[in-house]
Amino acid sequence: MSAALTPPLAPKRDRQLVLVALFGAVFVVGLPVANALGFVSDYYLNLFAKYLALAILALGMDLIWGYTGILSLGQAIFFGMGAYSIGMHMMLESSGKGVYGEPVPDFMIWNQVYQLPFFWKPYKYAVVAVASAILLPALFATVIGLLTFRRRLRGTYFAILTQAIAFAVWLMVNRNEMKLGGTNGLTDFKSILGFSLSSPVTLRALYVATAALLVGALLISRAIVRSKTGLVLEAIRDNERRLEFLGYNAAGFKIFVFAVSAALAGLAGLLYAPQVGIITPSQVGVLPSLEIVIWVAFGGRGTLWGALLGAISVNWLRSVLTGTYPRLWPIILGGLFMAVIMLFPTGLVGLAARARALVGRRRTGGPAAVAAPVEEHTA
Amino acid sequence: MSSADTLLYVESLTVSFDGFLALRNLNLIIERDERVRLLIGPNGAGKTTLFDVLTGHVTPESGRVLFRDTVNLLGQAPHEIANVGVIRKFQTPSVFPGHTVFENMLLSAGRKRFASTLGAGRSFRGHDPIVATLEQVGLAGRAGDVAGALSHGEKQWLEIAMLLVQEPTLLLLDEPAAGMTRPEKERTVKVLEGIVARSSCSVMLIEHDMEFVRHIAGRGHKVTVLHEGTVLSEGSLERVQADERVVEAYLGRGKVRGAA
Amino acid sequence: MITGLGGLAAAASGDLDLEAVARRLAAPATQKSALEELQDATDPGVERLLRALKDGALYTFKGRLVLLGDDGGLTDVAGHPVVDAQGQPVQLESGQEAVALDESLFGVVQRILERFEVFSDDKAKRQSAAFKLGTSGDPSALGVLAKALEREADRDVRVVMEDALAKLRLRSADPKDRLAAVKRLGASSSEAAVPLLKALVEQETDPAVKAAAQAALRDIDTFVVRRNIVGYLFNGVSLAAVLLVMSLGLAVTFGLMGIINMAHGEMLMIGSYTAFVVQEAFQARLAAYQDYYFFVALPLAFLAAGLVGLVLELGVIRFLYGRPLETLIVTWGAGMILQQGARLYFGDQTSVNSPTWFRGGLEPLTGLIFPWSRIFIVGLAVAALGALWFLLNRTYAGMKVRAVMQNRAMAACLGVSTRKVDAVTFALGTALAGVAGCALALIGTVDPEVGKTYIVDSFMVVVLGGVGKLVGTVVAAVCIGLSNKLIEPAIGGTAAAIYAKVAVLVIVIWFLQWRPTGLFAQRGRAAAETA
Repeated sequence: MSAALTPPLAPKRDRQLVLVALFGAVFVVGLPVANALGFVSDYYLNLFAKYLALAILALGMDLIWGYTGILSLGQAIFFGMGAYSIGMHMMLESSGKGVYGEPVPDFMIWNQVYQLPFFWKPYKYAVVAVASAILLPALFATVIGLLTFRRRLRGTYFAILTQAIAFAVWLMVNRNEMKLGGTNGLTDFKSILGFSLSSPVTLRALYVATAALLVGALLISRAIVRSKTGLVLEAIRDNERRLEFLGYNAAGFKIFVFAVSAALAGLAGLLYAPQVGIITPSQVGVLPSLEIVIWVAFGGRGTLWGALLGAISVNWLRSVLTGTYPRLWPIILGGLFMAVIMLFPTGLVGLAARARALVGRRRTGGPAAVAAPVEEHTA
Repeated sequence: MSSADTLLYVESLTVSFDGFLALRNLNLIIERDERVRLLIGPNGAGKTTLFDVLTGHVTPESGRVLFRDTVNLLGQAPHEIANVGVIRKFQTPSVFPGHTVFENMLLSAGRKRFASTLGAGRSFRGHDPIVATLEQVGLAGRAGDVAGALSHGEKQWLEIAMLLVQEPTLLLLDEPAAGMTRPEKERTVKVLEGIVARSSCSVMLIEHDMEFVRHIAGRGHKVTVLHEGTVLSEGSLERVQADERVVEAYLGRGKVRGAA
Repeated sequence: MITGLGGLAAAASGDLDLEAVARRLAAPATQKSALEELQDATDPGVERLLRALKDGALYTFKGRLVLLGDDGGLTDVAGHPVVDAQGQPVQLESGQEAVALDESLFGVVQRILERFEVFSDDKAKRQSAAFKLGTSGDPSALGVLAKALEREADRDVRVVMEDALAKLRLRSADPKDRLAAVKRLGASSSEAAVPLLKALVEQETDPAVKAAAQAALRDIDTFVVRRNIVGYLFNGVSLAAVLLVMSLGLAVTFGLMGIINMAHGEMLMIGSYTAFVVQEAFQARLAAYQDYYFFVALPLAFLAAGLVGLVLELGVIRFLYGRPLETLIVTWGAGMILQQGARLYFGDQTSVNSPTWFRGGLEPLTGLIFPWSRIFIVGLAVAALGALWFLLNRTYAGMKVRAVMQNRAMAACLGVSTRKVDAVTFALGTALAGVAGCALALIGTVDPEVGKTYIVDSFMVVVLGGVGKLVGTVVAAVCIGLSNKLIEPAIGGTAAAIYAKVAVLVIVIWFLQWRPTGLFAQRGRAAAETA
């Protein structure tokens, strides 16, 4: 009797995979090849690497917020963990010899710290740095989740909670006593895994890694979202209490998605730091966390593509505007946020959907259906 | 009273909301073989509160609640109670309006543990129980429609379908006919009769609409009348309606529609 | 031959023959002994002489001693100008050398001069001079101090002088003197005396004096601890007032209306800049009334921020009711615009001076100062709170506001213009923020970043307090303020402020877990939406 039921989901899938393939072709293959051939400058490639890394960050945010409806204002903390992890490793790789013969970063010497603090030592090994960049945020998120999700802390209160944690972490990281570089952060990276960071080949390789990992993250996120787990997450967003009466232990799902989003954020940080060359406390805190929210909402939350679009477009716009209108850019950008959201509350993706509808394509219940319910739901 | 071999055993249940006693020393037993129990009473009698306690939404001051002799329902989380087989339907339809009928059903069906959801897909394959249940409530043709677009009555049936596909042992229906038109109510009665006939689950039903009640109770099902937090009278519908105390309680608050 | 009134100098200055003293000072052989004799001197003529000697302005001129004034004119030891036979002022011949002061005696002269401060006309100078003499431990100052005390009329200065005398008498040979001094210092809770008393305890032989000194030390310690606690409590109350004043506006827009206004910080900024602009205007046009600028700035800040809020509500926010996510982004954008606008127009660092009556403070206990500016902020917080409460609970307008917030549809049915109420209520919230910003300009800087600094704290206070209830906001502000300032001294050290803040944040986090609806939960529009 299945034939009597109308299948709503089937055609969308093929279209989406094509999009992913297209995205991969352009960004993982196309751009770096163009760079190798000289059509795209190293500068632009590096800039795009930054955008793509931030897109991974946005993806995690979309999972926890766009799909599950949990507003986390602490994603920047996880990002920072990833960035600082690899940053510490790179600093150790490129710093001089200290008193005890082991490399000690310059900023510590300036602060009269001549011995490497114990928590820095494991970061000598790249494996530790990479693993901790991804696993440590996931662990931290799991702990927070265990402490809060089981007590059904939700809505604004989780947002405020994560905001408070972000604020506290930011305050601490700024202190010199934490031996993380204080307000100046970690910078002056010379090489990674033995490859010089000033060589265009290394940067290109890092770019490709970033783009490839973004595609990977996208595929994983899609897999989650398209499975029954994704359905449950959306149900959590829409009516968690009702879901519990159906027999689901929502807490477990929330912890899962929170940990995944944290791991993605950590991965983003891991890729960001070597390519941008610096990580400071100003990227770890409440304000950067809010900016991530802006990217995802601007792009259109709950669609995954919206997160990518939002992250890349906002950051790209910002770069362009700061260059051309150094004095006016916040006004332009702020105005843009206001205009887009007022006119297209479902973000850029909603804009695209509406444009398509105008062009006369038949509404299959795909993106529009996804966009519509999102409108109904509160933050 | 002994709790042996009962489906639901409620003893001396007391619920207080800041001093106001919503339930006072309530005693109620549903036997294993009892298929339908009707719960009626004036507004504020405590009917919905009883359901709240049974599903873990409200914590009582005192009392015991045993399900199937052995399972203590008090102190368990709502999702655990649902997994034990006590399923509730709310007064207002609470489907997931942003998702399709099918997706609503998918959420309700199958295993609820995290690991099993990760592997399961959202598409259509192999979901005969869902299809069968949708047919039972007559919504098979609407599977692809967004639930928010259904009429009120259709939403109620969808919700019933969602409950059925969970294979409940005890179904708690809170005013299933509320807000329905006459034809819709008749269909609901048929759906309920179908449930009673085809599955082995028991149903406890809160209703205000006396005609609806009479249709169901006419099959010889027991009626419990709640008043001010405690059981006022219990028995067949005729007996209960003849009970002076019941008449007074209802008259005191207005005539019961359709009463003799 | 120089005539003049110089010859009368000796007779005019009473006890002292200034000329003779001067002569002895001028001669290297007798300089030291002359100075020793002058230890107890109180004569102003001596002060003049010694200053001149120290400054190298004492000269021997035609057989007499003269002082060179700042104007180049010469005066004799009695202070009279030196003139020639025709009555014209006389000048020094070039190449003349001043009387030399032996280097080793410089300190002696300095000390004697310091003692003269004790007779100064300026009360503050007398007080600080007496204090210095007391801690100098120089017993030779006793005489001067005693004489000064006899002449002293002002009560505050007398207290300082008596303390100083007591400190000096700690070194007296007579144990009775020492005992009396110790008791006196204990009674007056003189914190400065503690090291002296401690030293005394170690060296003291007389058991009675020793015991008394230990008792005195204990008394002083108790006093200091109590005083510090009062200080911390005041700091806590002051911080609570700052938080409250910051968050009151947000309690209206977010707590009552459920609007997530990310531009709240920029509303504060507008208030701060209003203070700046008004102050500049006063300095330029009404310099005489400069201090009154603040009275004009406060209401103007209210209006300015209220106006901006009104425009924001009418133009943007009213289209987004029930959609907190969109409101968040849109107000974030508005905040960016406002912030950059301020930066472009005003530059990055400006500040505002407190009116003169706000400088300094109340001193209820020695060593404890309650700055007037902070007392003002406490007062302002209470006043604003009271006004808001009155407005909401005792006026018809307030009733309309509460009706709309509790049940919009019903209120509309009853004839309340919900659009108007929304606009006015939101504007009220931002106006309150403006007032807060104006007041905060007194204790902080005025720059475009001000908004971002305050917004996190403000949201925390409102959420901790429980969205929808004013009481909650107040209690939350008080709790956070007090705990922050009480934890700070417990942690101690240079970074105590930061660690205390982190500690408070951790407490807030823990509390929210246990009670996610905040201190005072309320069923209201905002609460229902965000639950």
